[in-house]
Amino acid sequence: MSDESAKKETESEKIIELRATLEKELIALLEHPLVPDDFKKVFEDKQ
Amino acid sequence: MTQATQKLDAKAASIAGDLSDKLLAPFSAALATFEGAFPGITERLTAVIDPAKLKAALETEVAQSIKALMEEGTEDSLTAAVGKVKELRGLLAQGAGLAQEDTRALITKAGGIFIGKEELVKLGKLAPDAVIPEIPAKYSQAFLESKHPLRDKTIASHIILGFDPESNQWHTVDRGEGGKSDIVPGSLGKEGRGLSGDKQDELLKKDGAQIKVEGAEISPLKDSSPIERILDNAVALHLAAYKSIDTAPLRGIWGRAGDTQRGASGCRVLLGNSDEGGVSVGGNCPSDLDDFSVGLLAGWN
Repeated sequence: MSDESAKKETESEKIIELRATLEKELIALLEHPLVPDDFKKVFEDKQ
Repeated sequence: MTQATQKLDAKAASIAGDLSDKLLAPFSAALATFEGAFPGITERLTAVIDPAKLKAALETEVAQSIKALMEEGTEDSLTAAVGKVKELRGLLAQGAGLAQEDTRALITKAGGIFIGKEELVKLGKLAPDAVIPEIPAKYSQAFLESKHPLRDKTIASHIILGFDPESNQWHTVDRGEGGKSDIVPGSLGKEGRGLSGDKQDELLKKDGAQIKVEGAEISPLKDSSPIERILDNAVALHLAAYKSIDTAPLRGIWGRAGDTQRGASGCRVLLGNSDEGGVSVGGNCPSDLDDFSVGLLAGWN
């Protein structure tokens, strides 16, 4: 494996990890009762 | 800094809000209730919660900015998105429940005494490893909506108010000058039954308590038997109000709300937040013990 592809793989792993973290944090945020519906809808559209 | 981040920051900084906003309606209602117990609490809490900041942080545009960062999908943008979401969660946590240190500062500023778990352990009322269960929000709400025996009550100084966990009954007894009562501070036990308030005072003094205490001398962590009794009472009262909580460690402890001959001593209840989820009691003793307010700082999750 070249240095370039190893670097890309590491980056990809990092991004997967970040996405997982983001999803977890976002779910917790959107579950909070003080978060307005309009705020939630932005992410519902994405889903 | 990405364009989305800049936009997000600019938006967050530009929006102002006020307490009447729909978003903060739950706070407004709660604060209105608290205001009766702790005049000025709204102002003090508002300063800590900073509703404008909370509102700005939850604008739709902010969500769209986060979404844009997500869609950008780079390590930098995702890191920024995670950071922003965590920041928002932090803001909400602050808005929904004051940090214990903030609460402690507020109670202290109000001339009160804040008793948290740490203090209760020092007072020997809780084991160091004791776990105080969180009080679910539904109980907090139930409290606010209920006719809790302490809620908005002003208790005359010679009234003893207590909760008997054995019978699950609340008691208020007018000790009065020369009056007699069947309910007595727990430390007196049966010995105190049927005695006049003055006689009970005498026995309490014998028991090591100082009945007449100047406000300036009150310190719950030093020599403060009377205030300990008051706090014991308050803790027992509030813990017992939530039957899901084990009151065994506090069983049999009675206290009293003030100890002067004035008939209008205050003993009111404040339900607040503690991000540690525990139960704490803050006593508001303005200049002396003529007026005594009790604050319950319960978990609000």
